[in-house]
Amino acid sequence: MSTDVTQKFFAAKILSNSEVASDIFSMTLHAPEIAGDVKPGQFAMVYLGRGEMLLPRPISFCDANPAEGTVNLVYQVVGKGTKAMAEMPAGENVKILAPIGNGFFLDRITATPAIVGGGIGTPPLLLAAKALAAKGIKPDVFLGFRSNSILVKEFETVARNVYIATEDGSHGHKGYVTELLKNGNNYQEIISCGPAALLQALKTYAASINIPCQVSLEERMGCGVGTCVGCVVKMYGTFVRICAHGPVFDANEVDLNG
Amino acid sequence: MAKNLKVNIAGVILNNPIVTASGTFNSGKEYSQFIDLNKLGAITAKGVSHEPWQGNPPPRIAETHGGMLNAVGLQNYGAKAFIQEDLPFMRQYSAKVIVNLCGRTIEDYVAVARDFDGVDIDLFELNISCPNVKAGGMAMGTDPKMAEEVTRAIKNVTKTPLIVKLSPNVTNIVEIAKAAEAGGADGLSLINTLLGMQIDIHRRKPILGNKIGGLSGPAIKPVALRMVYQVAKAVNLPIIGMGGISAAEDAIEFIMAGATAVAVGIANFTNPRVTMEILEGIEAFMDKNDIQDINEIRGVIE
Repeated sequence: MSTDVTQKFFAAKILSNSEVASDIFSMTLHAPEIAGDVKPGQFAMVYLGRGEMLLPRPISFCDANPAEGTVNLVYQVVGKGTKAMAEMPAGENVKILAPIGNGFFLDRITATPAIVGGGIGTPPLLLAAKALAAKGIKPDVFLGFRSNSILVKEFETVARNVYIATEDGSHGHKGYVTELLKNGNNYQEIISCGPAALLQALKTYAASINIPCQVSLEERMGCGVGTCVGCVVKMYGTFVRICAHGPVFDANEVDLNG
Repeated sequence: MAKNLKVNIAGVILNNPIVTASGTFNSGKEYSQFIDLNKLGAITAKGVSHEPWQGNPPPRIAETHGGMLNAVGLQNYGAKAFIQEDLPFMRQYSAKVIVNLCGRTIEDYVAVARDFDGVDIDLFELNISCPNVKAGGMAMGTDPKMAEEVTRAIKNVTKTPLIVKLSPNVTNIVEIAKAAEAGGADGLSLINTLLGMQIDIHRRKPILGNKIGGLSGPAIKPVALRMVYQVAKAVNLPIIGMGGISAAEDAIEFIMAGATAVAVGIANFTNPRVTMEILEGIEAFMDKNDIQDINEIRGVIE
């Protein structure tokens, strides 16, 4: 409901769009219209331009480079829409609407946080880690994947420590990322994005040691701008729109079990 | 001579026939970032009830081939909040304001209509066709007796012109349209969404939290157009036609079938500037075909 919205709807040139891990793609766009405005945790609606698939897809920003006027989206092919995205060739234009959402609550971070990402929830956390490092607070980063890890090198340049877990043991600890996150009391907050089960586990853990936990949520979206009331989460007993009020919430304010 | 795009819905003059469909445009604020709301004929606000409604559990949205299912369930903050928070914004623009009324009982509908006593709006749209609320909603819109009764009940308590929004989930759309006309409706809008479903075969569960929902989008356009055509031939009321309109050609089809105005719904999600592109496309069509007045082509299909 904010009136100071500065979202833009425009065609951006695809500079590159390639597979960086199995079913994970990285798309870099020339988007000087927004590159300087993107905040960590915000996302774009990506328009597919396909008659049978009407709805734009919400994809988080993994990076933004104001100097070069570029933004980067890292996404997983999970269905027909993201498959169509993966097939978009470099050199062509794609329409996007961005930036959307509130982003992570980084202003309040004054001491080392734990950044925890799971799977395709990892990309938006890179921008958060970068922003924190830029203000002199290098986070400890915990990343969990089913198998292939992504963005580890990028996190290593801005994190104090990077801890990896994979379910199949192919990289780092064999098991869940939550098993690596001990001594949570050392951290001011947990900043997280990933599957619902991970976010719920982090919410419970953060509550048990009495530290704040911010979670970035995803949901099926229609419009992306707040009009369709399609993407909701229960917050203090009422449904609020994830695109307009989130996607980042304080974990203790929302019901992560639907 | 300048072309005429003005149309008359129940005595209310719209600057052009382009309307936004309820529930797809909120009150216009979000889309005012991308288009000039002054260039719309009317904005139909999201459905509003007397008391706040919580809506259905997520997921509420499922994309289908050329369409979209929704089961939002008319979540809204209630008429009082709408009047205080949304209406002043809408009133800054020349677009006419259509307020979509929701309820579960006749008493609910009467109460929300009365919430607008003395409030500056242009038209009511009576939503007796939403498939996503358990009582009221579509139940009233699929029974001719109930449709007539609720229409009359609201006409008895308001002077604001009343458009009745029809459900396509009926055997005979003309019968319902005539019932609304008999109840005193000043206009009709059609169609609301068609009941539909989608299943996640991997999880063996419906995608929508509400299991079933309402289908809209280009996939339903031929059905909507057929119903507008049949109803326009059978009743003597202005019609706002809707259902999958996403291009100027679609809008012109509905007008030729008998619609006085056309409403654009989820095409706004696919292209936030689509209403302006439709308007420009209609003007270009009129230029090319030497049409001076948009009303000339209304209902030209025999």
